Amino acid sequence: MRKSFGKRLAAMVVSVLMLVTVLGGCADSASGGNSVVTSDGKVQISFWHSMSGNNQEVLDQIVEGFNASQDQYVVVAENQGSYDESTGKFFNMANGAGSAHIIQIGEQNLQSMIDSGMIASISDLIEKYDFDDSDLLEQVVNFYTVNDTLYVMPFNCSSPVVYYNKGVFDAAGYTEFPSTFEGISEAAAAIAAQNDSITPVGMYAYGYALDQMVTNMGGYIINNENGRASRATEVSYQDQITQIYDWIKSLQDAGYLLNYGTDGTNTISGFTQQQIGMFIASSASARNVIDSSEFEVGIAPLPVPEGVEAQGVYAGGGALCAAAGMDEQTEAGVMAFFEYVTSPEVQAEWASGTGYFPICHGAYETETMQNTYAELPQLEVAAQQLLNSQVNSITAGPLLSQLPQLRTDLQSALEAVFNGSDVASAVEQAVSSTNSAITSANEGVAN
Amino acid sequence: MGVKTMARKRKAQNAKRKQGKELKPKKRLPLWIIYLLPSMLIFILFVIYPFIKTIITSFFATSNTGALTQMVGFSNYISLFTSETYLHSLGTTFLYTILTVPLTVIISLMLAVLSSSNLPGMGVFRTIFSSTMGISVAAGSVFWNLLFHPTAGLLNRIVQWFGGEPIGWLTDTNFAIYSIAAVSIWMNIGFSYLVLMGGLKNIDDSHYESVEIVGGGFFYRLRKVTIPLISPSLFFVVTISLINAFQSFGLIDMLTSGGPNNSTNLMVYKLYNDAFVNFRFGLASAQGIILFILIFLISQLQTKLTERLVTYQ
Repeated sequence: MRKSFGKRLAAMVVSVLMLVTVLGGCADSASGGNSVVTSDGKVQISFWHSMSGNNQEVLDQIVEGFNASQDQYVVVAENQGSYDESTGKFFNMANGAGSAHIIQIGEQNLQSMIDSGMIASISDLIEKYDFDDSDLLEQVVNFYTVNDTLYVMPFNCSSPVVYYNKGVFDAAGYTEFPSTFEGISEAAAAIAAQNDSITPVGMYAYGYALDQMVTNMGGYIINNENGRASRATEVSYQDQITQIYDWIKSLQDAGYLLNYGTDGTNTISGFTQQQIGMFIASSASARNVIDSSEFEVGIAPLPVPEGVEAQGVYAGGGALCAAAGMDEQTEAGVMAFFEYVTSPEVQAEWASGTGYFPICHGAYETETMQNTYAELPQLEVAAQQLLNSQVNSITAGPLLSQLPQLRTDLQSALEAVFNGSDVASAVEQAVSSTNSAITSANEGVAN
Repeated sequence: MGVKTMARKRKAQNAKRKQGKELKPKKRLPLWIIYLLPSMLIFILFVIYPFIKTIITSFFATSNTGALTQMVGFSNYISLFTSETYLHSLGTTFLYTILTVPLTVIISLMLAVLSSSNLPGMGVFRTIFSSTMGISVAAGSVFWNLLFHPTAGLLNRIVQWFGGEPIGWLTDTNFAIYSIAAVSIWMNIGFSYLVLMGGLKNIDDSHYESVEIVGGGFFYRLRKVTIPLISPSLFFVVTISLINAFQSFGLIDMLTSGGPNNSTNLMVYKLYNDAFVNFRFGLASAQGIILFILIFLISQLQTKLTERLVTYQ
């Protein structure tokens, strides 16, 4: 009983159709570069960011503000997870359809983005669109400038700071927050002596804060002048990080320290529930911490060991990349958005609502910003810490594709110290892990 | 009965089929190819091609977008096996597997046996025991993260109420892996329970009646009837749990990020970090291949060891 030819043909047609469906899904993504136009004729610009919670709400308002301010473009903002996750997705999309036109990155992703060749040079765009960049903070521009080319548009700048419970420190006789490791240790002892219910210092392993503390103490994080003179080949933070860990270990051994692992959220909730007296975190959370605490929150610059002059910090936080190879229309829209978000008034609104500080001089003069700083002077601390920083190759900040790995290793080492390991072997472990990562990553860009 | 009889039957059927076939003309276009084509294509596109590509990538250094830049031979593998972090990660993964798999299976088997009777109200318990199946890893992690909170968490409050020192559930290197394992067992019980329950419900009552005639007790019944008869389900649950344990990622990512000091840095989490955070795809591919070989060997070993214990009705 032979099957008819028709049946076989039908089976073949069905298979081919299914195949087309499968491959068709893939083919779509090869059509990148063309602008997407919405039904009401606006050019759609896709914006990937890594803001969540309170900061995301403020960002959404700004995007809405831009969309309402003109009728040519519409920016669609999407949270794509952390900076590192979002960068990874961006690489995987290879600038195909559905990928971002604007992507927000953290300072640790800068070298990777440049290496990928998937982002446009902002310097070129600035020239092409006559963008006025004279008002941008030089510290920030310096960080993101590599070989005289600015690769990203500064947007959200932050620096790690000390958050402390003002009431608790006042009660222990410290109305002025100590600026040195030793001073904080003494204050911790005083707090422990007169307040049973609170652990003086809370801490979580936070790589970004650790490498900023190295910078603040005048150390290069990686060799070849932080990777700015030529591509870095190994870490060089050993002396400073040993001092930092020794200090943390002494706090822990004295029972003044509570360790929160790597969980920043838990640290913040421990602080707002008055279980710890101080902690170190990015200023980005400042507004959130202040608003959710029922006591007065003090913010202070990063401490240094006695006898060391604070150098200041590099311009951390995030910035906006523009994808390479956009068509004219989209590119113009991206630049219009950049112009909007770096304008003084928008930067002031952004900084007031978050804990980032404005990246243009003009914003500091606006009424919004001045009112905010008058009402919440703490928010100004992070900005001052950066603005007062010395301008040299140390505070230019590290340039390294393996910066996320470097930070993870610093975190692991600190967690080892938290768990009783000795400082020297913890540092050694971090150094060897990061160095081998740098070697293997450099192999990948060698040719 | 069982495997051997089935094999014999199959042989007989094949022989019959062969005889029939010889009578027919051999010109037919092999239709099965067309029927298989769609699934073969999908399989080749999403499994075989990536697999071969992974093998190739594992011998290269890559740029951060994944392009192969330099052939490095076995250097990725060598650097893995000489890396303390990776060996530690291997060890941790084995520990985690040993912690989670037996307990998950034993607990869900106990729960299934206890709730398989037809007493009134059992439905409530069955729903509760299988409910973790409906909880996503993300939601479960958020919930447990609150319980584990070093100062405000419920668990430490209980410890302190009994006069103990607060415990760093996720921040102490001696505790973290056990905390994660506990959550993982809790999360996986739902699925194992459901599968084993299905197996139990398939057992014909007549078997139990025979036990009653012989006069066997609860444990006799469990050992001689229940476990042998649900052995296919048990085998399935153990295999799946093993593979899942080797591939666990979500809980780690949400709760500890591999910390403290790499004490929960399991193989897949490390692989993910090397590939998608540090963009060292060559190294990550090598880890993928090692993981594949490991899971392959362990599944083989497990099949060899337990095959004869499994009886199919």
